[in-house]
Amino acid sequence: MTARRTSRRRKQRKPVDTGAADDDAAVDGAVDDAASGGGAKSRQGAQQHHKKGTSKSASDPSGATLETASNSKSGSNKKRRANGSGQSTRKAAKNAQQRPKGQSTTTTKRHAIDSDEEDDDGDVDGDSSSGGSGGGGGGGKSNHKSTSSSNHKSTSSNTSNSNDNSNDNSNDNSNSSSGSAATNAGDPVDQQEQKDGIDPEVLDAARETLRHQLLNPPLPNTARHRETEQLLFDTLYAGVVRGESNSVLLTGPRGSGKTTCVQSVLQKLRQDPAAKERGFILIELNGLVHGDDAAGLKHMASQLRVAASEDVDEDEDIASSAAETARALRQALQQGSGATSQCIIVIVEEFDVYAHFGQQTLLYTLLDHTQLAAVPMVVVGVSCRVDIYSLLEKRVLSRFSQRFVHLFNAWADFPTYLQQFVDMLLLPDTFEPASFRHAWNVHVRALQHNPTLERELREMHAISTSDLRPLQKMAFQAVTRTAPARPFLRAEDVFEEKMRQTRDAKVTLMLDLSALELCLVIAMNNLRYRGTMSFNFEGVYATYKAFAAGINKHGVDFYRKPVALKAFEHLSALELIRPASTTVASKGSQHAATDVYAAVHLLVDDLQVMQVVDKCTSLSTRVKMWAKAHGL
Amino acid sequence: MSSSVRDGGGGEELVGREKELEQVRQYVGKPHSPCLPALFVYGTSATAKTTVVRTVMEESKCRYAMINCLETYSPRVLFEQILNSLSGDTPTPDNLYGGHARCDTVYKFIKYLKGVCDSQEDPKATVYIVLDNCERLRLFRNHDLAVFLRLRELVHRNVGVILISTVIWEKFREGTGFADPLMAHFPAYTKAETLAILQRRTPRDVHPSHFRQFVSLLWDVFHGPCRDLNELAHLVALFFDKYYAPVRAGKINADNKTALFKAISPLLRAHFSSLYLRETSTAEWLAAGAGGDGDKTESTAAPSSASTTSTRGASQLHKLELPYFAKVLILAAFLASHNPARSDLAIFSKRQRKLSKQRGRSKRKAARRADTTAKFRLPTSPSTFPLSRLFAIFYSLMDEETDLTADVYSHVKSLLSLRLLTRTTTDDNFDSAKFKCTMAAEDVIALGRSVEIDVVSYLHEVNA
Repeated sequence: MTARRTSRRRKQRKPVDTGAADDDAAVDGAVDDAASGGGAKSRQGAQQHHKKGTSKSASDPSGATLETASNSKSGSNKKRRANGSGQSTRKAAKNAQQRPKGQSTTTTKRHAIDSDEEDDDGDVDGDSSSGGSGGGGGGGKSNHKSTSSSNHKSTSSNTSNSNDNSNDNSNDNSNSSSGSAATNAGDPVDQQEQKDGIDPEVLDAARETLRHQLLNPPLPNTARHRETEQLLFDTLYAGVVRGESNSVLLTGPRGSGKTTCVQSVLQKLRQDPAAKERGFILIELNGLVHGDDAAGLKHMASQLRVAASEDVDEDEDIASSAAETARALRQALQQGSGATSQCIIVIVEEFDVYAHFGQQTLLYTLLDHTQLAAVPMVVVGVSCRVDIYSLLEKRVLSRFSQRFVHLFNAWADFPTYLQQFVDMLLLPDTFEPASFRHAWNVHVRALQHNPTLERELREMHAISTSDLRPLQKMAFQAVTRTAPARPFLRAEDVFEEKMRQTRDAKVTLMLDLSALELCLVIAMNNLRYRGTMSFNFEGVYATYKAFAAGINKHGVDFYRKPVALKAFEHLSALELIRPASTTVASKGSQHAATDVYAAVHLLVDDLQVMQVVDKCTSLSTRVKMWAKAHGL
Repeated sequence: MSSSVRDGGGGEELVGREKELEQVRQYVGKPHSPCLPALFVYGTSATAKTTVVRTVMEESKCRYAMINCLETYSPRVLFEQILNSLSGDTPTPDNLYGGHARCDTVYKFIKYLKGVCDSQEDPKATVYIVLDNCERLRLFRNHDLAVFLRLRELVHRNVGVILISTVIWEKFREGTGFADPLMAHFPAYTKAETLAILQRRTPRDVHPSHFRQFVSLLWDVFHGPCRDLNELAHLVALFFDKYYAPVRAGKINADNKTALFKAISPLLRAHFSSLYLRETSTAEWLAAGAGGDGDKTESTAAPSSASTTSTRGASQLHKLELPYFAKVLILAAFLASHNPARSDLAIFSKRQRKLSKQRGRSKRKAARRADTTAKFRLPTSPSTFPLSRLFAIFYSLMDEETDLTADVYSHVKSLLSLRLLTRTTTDDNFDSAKFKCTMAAEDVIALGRSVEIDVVSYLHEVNA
């Protein structure tokens, strides 16, 4: 095929500047993908489009799998809509051939701008095609999803041997399009794997390993974390071995590894010979679980008695009130002495919850005890609130040791953030067989060179530099998506998962609404545009009615008030609108009969409405125009 | 929701939910696989959320508890149901209706849950808790939802929580401790999928293609206001016999789509206005259909569809035979509620003077003004009025002289008990009581027509 020849020739002529192994495979894939796309309609249109698409993808130096896929797809889609035969192959190839050599450098520079444009392009195309084919569900999917799904379609349309390789998007494409595996000579591991096929059991094992790894992430290896760990360990060690009471407060945003840090320190402490010999009593409290002072104190008391190997039932009331429990606890604790008694380590998670109860009895009792020289006790508070200091009462604060540790992950620079993502997906060195591990890791490392994925990750990085949990979730889902047919991580899987997790839920939900419900939303949006901030059903219906009356001849259905009221109620059940007065807004009364005059707020902003209007296939053009013009 | 879909044809496979099934399956993985703490399944109603999750749960061979949060009105009920379901203990007379354990706080729940997890034959296997309609959990104290979101961390066992809701996740975030779950969106069914599902309801004596024709027709007519599968299924049940009656009677060939559509379309159009409303029960509907043959139903349907929207809306009211005084009282109450008191004098005192001429002009002027004003004024809720004002307007509306008698008072009382009027003050003092008219404008206009009073011309907005 001409396309392949050109790209190969190019490979010889122009050395590739980055070291990624499958660059040229990607280029091939892009061309082939475009080629296998579908029918051709107008020669000029296809050519124009392809000139843009292929030239850019060809020039892209870094395995531009997704970019190229969406690129060439936007062209092929247009054609597919026209007619479905596979004629564009030669044309696309010719384009690639005709492309002047110097063009590649200029397009590379324009890449950033270009990619955005391309994205929009794919957007429109993807949607219209999914709506047209009727299989896509019209609404629910993000544009990117439809992009890659139709990419699937194109690869599976000519299935030659796509079932056992598909290690990377590029390879997948190049193989499935023509069945000649000779092109990707750059990646020996892949070829070997293709020959062997992947053992499903190995894949399962890999998946399980990664699931474990992702769910139990290790403590981030930063200086701050190490310092904190050391400090905590020293404090606890002093408490356990030397009987020094103390208190530490560990703060930090969610997902910054506070709990992990505490747990790892406890683990170390358990293994430490000196601490082991002395032994300690561990009491873990959690503000979410032991929801108030009384419950917390009770739990502590019963834990102590369990530790003292008294046979107790937690249900049994130790004392009737929190105050009595506290007193009993205090007495129990004062009986020991620092020299002989075992140290009590109290871990209080969600420390801030206890600060919200009137007297802060629990915190007071705990911290007060650390000041007494009786039984040694170390209190470790864990909280996500940075302002915890200002939440505490004076008498509590005065008993606190003032040891604050603020823990945070800051992968301020993007490469380390990216590295975190890659690290969490790499198979550990202990994993066997090594050949699979190697192949897997190669693919994972290749992910970071994918420009589209990088863009998305940059966006996530811009949102939060410290929280890795979104990355974990994304990685988790991407790992579970692997199957024996496509055993390695693919950029598009990760990408699709990212889109799925971060898309605008309101827009997705609204795309599933009926035309009438959307009309009401649009009516409200239009009213808001004209300066009304809260609406009632009567007003919304009047607006809708005025609109429908104006264009009734043009086939827009008009619905009577009770039907519209039902639709309105549905919107309220989906919580897209909310009663304006807070007294009515108490969550229980949502399903009471709707007062048609009660003021409501629309909880969807103009941008979201416009997105829905753009994407929705069930709305008539008139309604769309009405929405766009904001009813003016 | 799911039951109606399944009852439909008895088909077990889920149409058009392959992707969603796959998504939930991926979350669950193998029986021993550790899973993320929570999965949040959302989508509009009737998108097979519950069914898909249940299917996956059943094939996963894991222990799971499927709880509908509509049933659990307090945390205790929720916790105990979960524990009972997971442990297999049911409250019976033998255990004094105790179930697994008495459990009303979170820490007890976690304690017992640990016990339940460890008591499995295989303690490592994942345990799932499915909470349907989980938006109801927000009614409890904030922490309870947060606890479920990080249950895995709190219990230190392999526990997964699947939340199902129609409400999006944004609305759940309040309070502390929220770990965002994994999202799984269930899109609404497309036309093809809906048709395939409804197709399962094909009666035995009907050819599938004919039924498909009908269902497709119904979708085309109704999908604008209604994409809810349940409602469409209801419509299918409602209309199919009527649609097919001519074929059964041998009048129209089943392949003659146009003729069949023509026969049914007045009925469908009439139903447009009462979609979702269930004004008549299915039994009544069927009884009405069985009473007469096809022609008869058509003749009853035709005038109603031919008449204007407003009179159709008032049809319910017409059934209620009110005496003349009562009707006029309603009109008076409506005017009292919707006109400002200061306008009464202008409207009622000299209303005979140049009535017709002024009306027409002012109406036009008002219409023009409504077009030009950019700022929209919201319709306000009906205002309250004292009894004296009601009577003043009432006598002004009545052409002939009427004495204020106990009769009129008793009419007010009966309107109150019919809930056409509501009183806004407390019950003790009838003289100083204030009232409100709750009827919709179009109903009142229709009512006015029946007593030959043009209500619109008395409205302040129109006259101003």
